[in-house]
This record gives sequence, structure tokens and C-alpha cells, in this order.
Amino acid sequence: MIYGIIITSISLLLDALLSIFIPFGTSNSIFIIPMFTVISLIIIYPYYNNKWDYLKVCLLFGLIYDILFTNTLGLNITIFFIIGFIISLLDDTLSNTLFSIIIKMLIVIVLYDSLTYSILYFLDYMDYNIMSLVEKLYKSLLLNVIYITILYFSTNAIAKKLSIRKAN
Amino acid sequence: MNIRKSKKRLETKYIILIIIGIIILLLSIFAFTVKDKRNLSKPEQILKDGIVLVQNIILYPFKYIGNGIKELYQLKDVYKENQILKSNLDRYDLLYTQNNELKKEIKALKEEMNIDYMLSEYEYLKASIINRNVGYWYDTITVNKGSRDGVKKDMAVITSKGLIGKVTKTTSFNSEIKLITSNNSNNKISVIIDNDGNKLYGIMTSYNEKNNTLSIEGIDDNSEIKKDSVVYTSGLNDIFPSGIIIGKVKNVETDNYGLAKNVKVTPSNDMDDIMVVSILKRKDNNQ
Repeated sequence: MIYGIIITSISLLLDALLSIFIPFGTSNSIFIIPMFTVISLIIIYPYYNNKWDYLKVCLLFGLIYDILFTNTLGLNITIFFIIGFIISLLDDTLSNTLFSIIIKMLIVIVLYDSLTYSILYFLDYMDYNIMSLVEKLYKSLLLNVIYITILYFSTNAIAKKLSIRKAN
Repeated sequence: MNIRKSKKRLETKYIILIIIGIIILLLSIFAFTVKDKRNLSKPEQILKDGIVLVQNIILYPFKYIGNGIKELYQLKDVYKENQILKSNLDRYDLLYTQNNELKKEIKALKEEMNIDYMLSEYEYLKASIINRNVGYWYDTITVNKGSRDGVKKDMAVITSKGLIGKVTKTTSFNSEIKLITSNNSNNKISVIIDNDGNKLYGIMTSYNEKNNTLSIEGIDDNSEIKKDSVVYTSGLNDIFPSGIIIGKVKNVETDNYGLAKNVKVTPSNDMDDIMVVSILKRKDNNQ
């Protein structure tokens, strides 16, 4: 459980660090919108024996994400919980090879962005068009694929060294 | 066997119903908390300050190195800037006298035009950005000055290049700033276009992300608006004092009915590249 929390905490800190130094979010955004915290949830799932423990971690990081980055409550808690639940379902059908992890990451990013967009649009908080969502999606991909690949190999290596076993 | 199966099904149904209920509850809380007008509750403020403090401690070395590299890049321009400053120094006495005269004129004009707040009546509180919204949709940044430094909701925030937004939420040590590039329907600003000395009033309504332009609507003047005319705040509301530069006119379009003009303005600030900002505190706010 602690190993998962450490991995997600590091990802959260990297999200915060990159938000300061890498320009993204407005017109000049380049192809790098980090979503490290969200995608780290895919990597940590196999280290949990109990699905509910894993979902509790998702809820906790959803809350921190809400407070740290959005000054709201509820949105990321909900989405992280839903994503955690979907990851647990995907894990039953997809293996844990790098290719499957990247496929899961694509699903998670699409799900996260679509849910956020839909909820904010439904609440009349913003009036972006659907192209903004598509743009956000493809801008999210490159950096996150690189990050999840690094995370996949490094967490596996560290787990092996520390004799931390995956539950499934 | 069948009874056990149906009991399990009933349990699953209950669990699903509870989860749906929790999701609806959380989204209702979000719908309430997403409002700009809301103040952060005390537990939220404490949590936010605590998390930001931990984040700052851990990220300090990385930020230090990052800022050092940025400053090194800027060093090459220092000599040139120094020469410009030296030449400006000679004009200091002249500018000082001019400034006093202008102050008197502004005071008289302010009374005549019934403008409440002007830029000269504010003091500048420097603040550094500690994080940007990662969620992409909100267009907000968080800075390291909060209510303890006298920051209050709705204070205008600028950089040396012009307006960037206003304070929407504060905790004791941090504040959230909503950028003018936010596409929130509440983000409307009264502005003036300086069209060769002819002042045109309008409302800045939205931001086009693709073209990086802000839209100004409601201009019914027939005169031709020139490209590169400067756009600045009018001071006709309580939030933004008059005279803060927003950007320059990029192009002008006429609305669908041919009655009013829709002016596209390129913001003077690059919102992606802001590290330090100034929060405008009204001098009488301190008391």
C-alpha cells in the first residue's frame, strides 16, 4: 500500500513542478500536458491485494488534486474513484505488459478528460467546443507515454529489488 | 443456493446504488465549490496551505535550479538593459516634475469623469507563482501571497506587461488567480480602446484559444478602429483600476447584424510564461 502511495505522491509532485516550468494550458501549449498523477494509478494497481484499499488511495489523491490544483472539492475525487474502478476492471481483461499499460493509459486519459469536460460543460462553467477536448487529448499523449514507460520499468525494478510482490 | 445467489445480487445492487449516491453527492459538492464567488472554508484553507507547504519544501531545490537556469539565460540582456536605464536616469528630474503635474491633472480629470479607482492609488504586492492548474480547463494560477499579506478576493493582478487576471480565492498563505484568458461566462471586463486619441468603450467577453485573441464586444461607434490600437481597462467597475494595459487590436469584425463591432485583441502577456506577478492593493485597503 505504501509503495503505491509513494509512486503516486512522486507523480503528483512532478505534476506540480512541471506546471511551473513547462508552459501549458493556453494558446501556446506544446505537446506536453502532464497527467502523471492520474496515470500513476494504473501502475500502482497491481501492488494492491484489496481493491477497496486501492480505491481509497484513488479517493485520497483525488482530494489532494482537487485542493492543490483546482480549489474545488468533489470533481477529481469522483473522477479518480471512477478511473480507479475502471482500472480494476481493465486489469482483469488486459495483462500487465508495457503495451497493455499504454492502452490502459490511453483509455484513462480519454476518460479523465471527457468526464472533466462533460461535468464542467454541464455545470455551465465553461463554453469550450468539442475541438478543445480533442486538442487537449492529443496534447496529453506524448509526454505521458514517455512517463508511464519510465514509471513502468523503474517501479518494476525497484519492486524487484525491495522484494515487493504484485498481487496479480 | 438460489436464495444465496439472489441475496448476493441484492447486495451488489445496494453497493452500486450507494456508489451512484456518493458520486451524485460529490458532484453536488463540486457544483457548489466551483463557483468563483465562494470563499474557501477554514478546513479547505488549512489543507491547501499544508499541502502547498509540503510541496514547496520538497520542490524547493528543483525550483531553485530551474530559476537559476532561467536567470542565467536572462543575464545576456543585462548589459543592454543597464545602458537603457543609464540613459533614462538623466531624465529623472524632468520626469519627476512632469509626474507631479500629471498627478494634479489626473485628480481633476478623475473628478470630472467620475472614475472611482486609478492605477496610481494602488500599491504593488509582488508574488511568485507556486503552481498552475493542471486540470487545463480552469485557467487559474496559485501564488505565494495570501490573506496574511493583505490579499483579498477580486484584487487585480498584473505583470510589467499588463493585466493577467483577478484574485478569486485566498487562504492564509496562498491565493488563486483567475486569468483573463479564462472562458468563464463571469469573466467580463470593461475596457477602452485608444483609437488615435478617440476613446471607445467596450466589454471584453471571451478568449479564443486557437488565435490567442480576446474579444471585445458592444462597440457601436462607426469610426474605423486601427490595428495595434492599445486596449486597457476603463476603471468602470470596482475590480480593475483604469489604465492597465490588456493588449493590442489584432483585427476588427462586424457582428452578424452589422450593428456593432467585434474587436479581436492580442493579450500583452504570454500567460504561459509568467513567474512573478503584482497584486494591486488599494492603498486604503491596508487600514
